[in-house]
Amino acid sequence: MHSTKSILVGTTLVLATMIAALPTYYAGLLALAGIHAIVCLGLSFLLAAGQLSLGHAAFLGTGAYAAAILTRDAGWPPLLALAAAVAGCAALACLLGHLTLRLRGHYLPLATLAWGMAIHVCFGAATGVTGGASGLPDIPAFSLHGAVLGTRAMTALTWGVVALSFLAFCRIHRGRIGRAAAAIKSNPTMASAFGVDVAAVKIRIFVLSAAMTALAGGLYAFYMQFLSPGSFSVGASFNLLIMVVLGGVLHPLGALLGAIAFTGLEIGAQYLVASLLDLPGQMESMLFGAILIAALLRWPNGLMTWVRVPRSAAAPAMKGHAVSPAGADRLPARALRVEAVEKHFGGLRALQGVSLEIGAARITGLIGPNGAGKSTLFNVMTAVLPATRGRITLGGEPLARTSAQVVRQGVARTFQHVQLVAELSVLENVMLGGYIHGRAGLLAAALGRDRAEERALAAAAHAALAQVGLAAEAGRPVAELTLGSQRLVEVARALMAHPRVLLLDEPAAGLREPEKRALVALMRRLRDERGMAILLVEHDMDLVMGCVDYLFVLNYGELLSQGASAEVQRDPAVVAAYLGAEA
Amino acid sequence: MTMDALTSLFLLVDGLTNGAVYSLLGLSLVLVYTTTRVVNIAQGEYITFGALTYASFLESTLAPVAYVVAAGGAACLLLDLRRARHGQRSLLRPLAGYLGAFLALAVLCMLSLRLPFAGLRMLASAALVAALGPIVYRLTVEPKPDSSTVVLVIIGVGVAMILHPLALLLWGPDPRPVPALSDASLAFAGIGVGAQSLFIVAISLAAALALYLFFRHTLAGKALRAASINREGAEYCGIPVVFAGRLSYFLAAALSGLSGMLLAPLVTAHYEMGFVVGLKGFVGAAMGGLINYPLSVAGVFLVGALESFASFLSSAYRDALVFALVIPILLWRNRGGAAHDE
Repeated sequence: MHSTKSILVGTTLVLATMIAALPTYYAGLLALAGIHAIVCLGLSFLLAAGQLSLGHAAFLGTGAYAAAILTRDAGWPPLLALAAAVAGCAALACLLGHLTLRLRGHYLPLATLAWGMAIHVCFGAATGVTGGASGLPDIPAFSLHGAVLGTRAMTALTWGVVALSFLAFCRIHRGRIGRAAAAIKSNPTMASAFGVDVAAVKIRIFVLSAAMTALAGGLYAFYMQFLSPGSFSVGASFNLLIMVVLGGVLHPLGALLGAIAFTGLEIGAQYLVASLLDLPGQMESMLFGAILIAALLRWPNGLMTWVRVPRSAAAPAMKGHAVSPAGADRLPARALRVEAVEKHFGGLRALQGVSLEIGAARITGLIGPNGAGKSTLFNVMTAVLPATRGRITLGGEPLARTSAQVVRQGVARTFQHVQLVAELSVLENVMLGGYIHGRAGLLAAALGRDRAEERALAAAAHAALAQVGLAAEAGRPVAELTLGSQRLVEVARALMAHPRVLLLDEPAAGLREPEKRALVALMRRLRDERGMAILLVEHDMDLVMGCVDYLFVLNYGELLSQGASAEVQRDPAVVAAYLGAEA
Repeated sequence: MTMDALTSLFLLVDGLTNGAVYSLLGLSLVLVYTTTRVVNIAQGEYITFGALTYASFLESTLAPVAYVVAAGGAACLLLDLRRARHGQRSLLRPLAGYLGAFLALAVLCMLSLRLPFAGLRMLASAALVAALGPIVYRLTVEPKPDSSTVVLVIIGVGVAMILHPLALLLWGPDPRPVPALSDASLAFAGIGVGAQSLFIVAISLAAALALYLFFRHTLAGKALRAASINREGAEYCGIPVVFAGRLSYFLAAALSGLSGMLLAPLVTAHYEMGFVVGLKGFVGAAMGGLINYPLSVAGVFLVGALESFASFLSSAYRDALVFALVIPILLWRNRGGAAHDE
């Protein structure tokens, strides 16, 4: 804590000195670096959510031209013009986002590239409004209450905005939406399974990044007092991307580092290429292209590879009294009932008329040979896939249609292949399970109004980890844990959602013997103390036979047998399915 | 301005000839995507290189790109040798392969410089540009073939940032004239259509058909597609995934280079010609979702027609309209097309 504070103070002092003392030209370059930094903060968070935008220079230009035209031609005061430009750009981004953020994979970058170019062309074509290719001159300088800001003052203002934005993004990054963004990048299905409305979160992050970019654009207009469409071309979008990738996406600090490093590199490269090597001006983009590729292949975390930011110190585990997560009292009984469910994939009938029930205060087992349809049934029960036919009810009510709503009904799950977010610590991964109990969005986090909520969530996460026996591992990066421990982290995460039905997909795979015993003890505790309905899909027969109250056997998509474990074990049909019929 | 039937027809024909230009590029994009999952934003640059290399041969000078190919090839050879030693495999195979390729290229180039046959020179130019493809693949995709889509797109951006100024560096800013294969002009309903444009249309249709048949109906084509869908699984089946990637980049670069040579007589060869053509080819290929050859060809012709009509309505905003068209196309693909996982 001390070192962070002293770094911050030291940086502020150095920056202030530079702004005051450097020759005007270099102070101006600092302003440009600051403007880039503002854009990169938004763009970096967007990329951290897995969304690649190749057209952000269009938002930069829109903000710049809007602010300039409102000030110069409509006579608005600069601050108001700036605010209007940001609001207008945010609205544009909202529209574009709704149109395109549902696009998967490679379609989104293409769409951003397309509109980036379309908007850029409009800047050049709308000569009446923007002055076209000859540019928009005579933009009045930024003024507050009549005081006109010169270069140094603009630089100071810009970096003031950078500082505030950096603070806001750091808070967002370690808060609820930051975790959701990392989850979306890692696996949108998993994020959805814990209540994240993936489309809505993506759009919000996108609009935020566009607003930041427009703000930077407005500041750019007031600083340069001249705009030309060439500054907002697709090349500019590519440069912004390079800054973000160069700096690294792991933390907002990467955005700052990337912007500063790139601005420095650009000046150095221009000098090198133009003065020393006497080559045409575009050559430095070759250098940047090479840096981009090298960074992606070798150092995917960019400059953040060498800068360690301590992950947020969430509330340490309160020693002394065992804190049980809220809602630990006995839950109202709710059974998950599957009635005659069928699931077809084209011609393949993965499930045919399966009916089963996961009763409250019971551990139900589901076993079957590989390919029997257990995972498909699992996915249908959690609304990841819709059933072709049949009904699924929870406590008599129909199951919700999306997995994000299903978890709010009280159904939580773990995954067969561990789906934890590698960039987050163990504690943060578990806190993701409590997403549905939180309310802090981007604004609340940015303003720091989510402290109480985060503390409560962290405390609950500690308690959940304690329940699975991993309280000591809370602060470690999740990738350092053994597979068995990671599975237990998944269970803790699922518990955070206060489920009434807990669906465990092969939780014992990769666990050692003592861990398996601890898992069984945990399941029995949940069943007895909280009346939870638990579904256990497993291959480990000893484990299953030893702890389940009721057993279903699936084979080729059909229910082969059901009953208490002893009966099922003796059932000749089950024996034949697993071991082959006797000759 | 009113648009009567004759004007519309003229615009349509003009649009179709524009579309023909983008079609070979669109096919290259689909080829690269279906075999390597890379959305190659840099594909347009091969157009530029093809046109300028051919222009150099026409002036009986060795295109400077030959040195780039030589240097790049040497770098790739070193990397392959290091990998072979690591895996304790014979060093002779990569050496023999690269030497063979080098000799073939060298012979082609020398002959093209001496003998003024257009066909030979086109072949040599195509070969040189095509050689760039596997070099780019080896240096940017092979080190981490399982990169996510986002990373591969950004890598494509990096490649574009290198290739674009490289053309400027190698050939300078002045445009170079390239003669058409034929200056004849045919008349359709009173509208003249250049024979060059018809060549382009014919070649792109033939290429689309050939690629479609290859990938749909031959085992080798299916193997190449398998390599992009599940790399490990394909390796277990004995499919040479590394070779597959390099081959597809080779073919894609050859196609794009060829389209550059055919396009150059219409717009003159200069270092800026490829990028925007590449992007418009993207718009068209997006109609096929980057996976479907016939739809891509249909898409690029649609783009060409739209460009023509948009040009008539407002020439300043023409490109904006064309690029804005991408979004409804992608939305339509996303909804109507098959569930397309990364």
